[in-house]
Amino acid sequence: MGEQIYDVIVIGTGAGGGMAIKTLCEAGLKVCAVNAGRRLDPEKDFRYHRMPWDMKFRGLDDPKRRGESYGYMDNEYTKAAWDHEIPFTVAPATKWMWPRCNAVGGKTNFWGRSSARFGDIDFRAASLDGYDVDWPLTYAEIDPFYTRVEKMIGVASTVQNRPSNPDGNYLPPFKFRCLDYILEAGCNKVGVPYLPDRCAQLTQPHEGHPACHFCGECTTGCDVGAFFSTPYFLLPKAEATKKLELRTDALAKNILVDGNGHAAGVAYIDRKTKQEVEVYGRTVVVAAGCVESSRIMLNSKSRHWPNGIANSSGQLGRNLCDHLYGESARGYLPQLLGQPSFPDHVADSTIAWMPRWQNLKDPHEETFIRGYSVYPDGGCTEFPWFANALDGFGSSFKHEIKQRYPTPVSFGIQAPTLRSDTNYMDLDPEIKDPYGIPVARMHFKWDENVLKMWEHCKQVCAEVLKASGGVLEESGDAPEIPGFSLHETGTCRMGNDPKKFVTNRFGQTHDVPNLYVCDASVFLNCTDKTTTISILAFTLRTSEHLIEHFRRGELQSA
Amino acid sequence: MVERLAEMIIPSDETLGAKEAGAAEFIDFMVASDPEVQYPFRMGLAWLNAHSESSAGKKFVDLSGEQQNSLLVPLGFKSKARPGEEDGRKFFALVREYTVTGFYTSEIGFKELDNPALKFYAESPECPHKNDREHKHLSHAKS
Repeated sequence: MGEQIYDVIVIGTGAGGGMAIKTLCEAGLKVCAVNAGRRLDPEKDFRYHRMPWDMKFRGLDDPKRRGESYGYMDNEYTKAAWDHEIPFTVAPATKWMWPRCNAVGGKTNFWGRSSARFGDIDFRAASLDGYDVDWPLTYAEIDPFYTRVEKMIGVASTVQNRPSNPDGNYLPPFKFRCLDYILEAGCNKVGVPYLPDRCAQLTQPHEGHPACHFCGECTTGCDVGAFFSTPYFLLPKAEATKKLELRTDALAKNILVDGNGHAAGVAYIDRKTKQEVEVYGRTVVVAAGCVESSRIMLNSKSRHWPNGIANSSGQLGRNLCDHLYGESARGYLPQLLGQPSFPDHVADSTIAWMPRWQNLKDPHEETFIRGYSVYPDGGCTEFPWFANALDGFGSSFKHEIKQRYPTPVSFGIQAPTLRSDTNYMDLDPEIKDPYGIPVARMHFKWDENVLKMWEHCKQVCAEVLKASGGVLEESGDAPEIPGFSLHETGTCRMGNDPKKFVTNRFGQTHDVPNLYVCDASVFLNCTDKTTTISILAFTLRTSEHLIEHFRRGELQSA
Repeated sequence: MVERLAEMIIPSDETLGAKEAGAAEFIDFMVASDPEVQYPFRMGLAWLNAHSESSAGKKFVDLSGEQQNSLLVPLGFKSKARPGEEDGRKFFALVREYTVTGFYTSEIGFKELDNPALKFYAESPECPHKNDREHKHLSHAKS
């Protein structure tokens, strides 16, 4: 055909896509990356280092955008980066929010940066408590990949010897603030851990990247790249090899197949011209993010794959897991009333954590199985949110706000759902996106186990607050709705049995040997830890597996 | 009228208040930008004027500061709430919320709290109370 055939087509440039692109390019493979959004220009698109009064709506965003905005990270500072054009639907009784950053780098542009390793307690959870199945690998196998990723991205923390949390190699941790020492003492009394979080934020210069300047504006994007994101850490290395062609505004529609049903390339919509374009490759890596990757694969129907590519197991899109997020307790620390203000917000999220402490000795110690983690936070933030709950007005009101400013604390839960047959995504049979592509339809409900964790967490955090000498004001009413955490996993699970799993233990699909999946969809569930560092480690392993296949000549002839 | 309410909610006392911070202008701008709150604001202002006329025979802005205060106290303090004034309390809470937002997102509001946002540090700042990690004996702390 005279068309160029790339060695690998990578869909997506987030944590998984970025790591795959860098690793494959450095191995000398010719890579074409297709990314659904544009490339951000930090100068124009990141509105960091701006005071609220320099923003038209004081950073609160245009109230007319209320229905459109995802809230939280999608705000006046970052709105240019979020995708609002591609809809999704929900089954009756399902609630789901799904903020998607389709710009180059994806969610790594603004991610929360907490970076704990998964461990054997996660991989072997089924053997321990009898629910579901084990992961098809051991911690010993993935450990060296975590080590390499930590060296690449830089993670600030300490060695903690926690049974649920394998230790790695860390930069100096964030230092504890007043509120951390107070809560740490409270946690000690209650008997739960309070430790420096594992935060991918550079507390010192690292591998050519500058140290953090602690401005506390990470979720509006970083101007110097002092925390890991693919545009700052991975893409420049890939581009230096001259092996990468990056196509932006390229919304992947489906994976093309050859006469044998093997992957032959990707069809995408050029969002600028609205035209469909085909790009050909010997291998395809899908790394569009869990639900989006599954949507693309389900939309890849052909004679060989009538139910979606690599879906002979019928498990593609199934087994959706998510983190339940919510504020399990909120209150204040009277010890700090009237204290001078202090820069408590410098990490913009996670200085400390309360890593999983439940079901460690005995997997059935609690009324629920597995476990959750908690992120405490508080202190002097940019805006005194607590003020609206105070009483009165006038000088006494103004004075009370000033007194209370250093004192607020809150606890955020991160709790995993269990795999179930009723939590999944499929294609909406009727609704299509503006380019005519069937949209994802979500079927999801919090399970009983995770709701028990939520109740448990509310009690423990209230106890911790009291033991810290704090005043409890609110004890978690309802958790956030599903999807909020952006930690969806499980829709292309990895496992040894091709009848039950979409990919093998390396993220290579069982059905289509030249099709790989590199995002959280291959994880069996979401554990109590965040996903990004594990996406990076698993992708590094998958990419090297793919490179090995090239070296052995198995992928030469598509 | 919004200007007067904002001034009373966050007054200028030992430190600058809503007036100097231009909180009322911010409220006007946000309400003008937001069709969803225009009706509650209009109805609330009408309620307060009607309430003022019926109890003191004058519009709210024409009352003395003392009279204005005595109308607002039952709306703003939970312990002083009176039956039949639910709409007024709801409106006052709305104005108070907008005033707080306008004031504490202004440069003057940042100074009021000595807001540490957007300063740069060479290393991550640590709690300065080395000898009192539980913070039981802080000098400025109220008991």
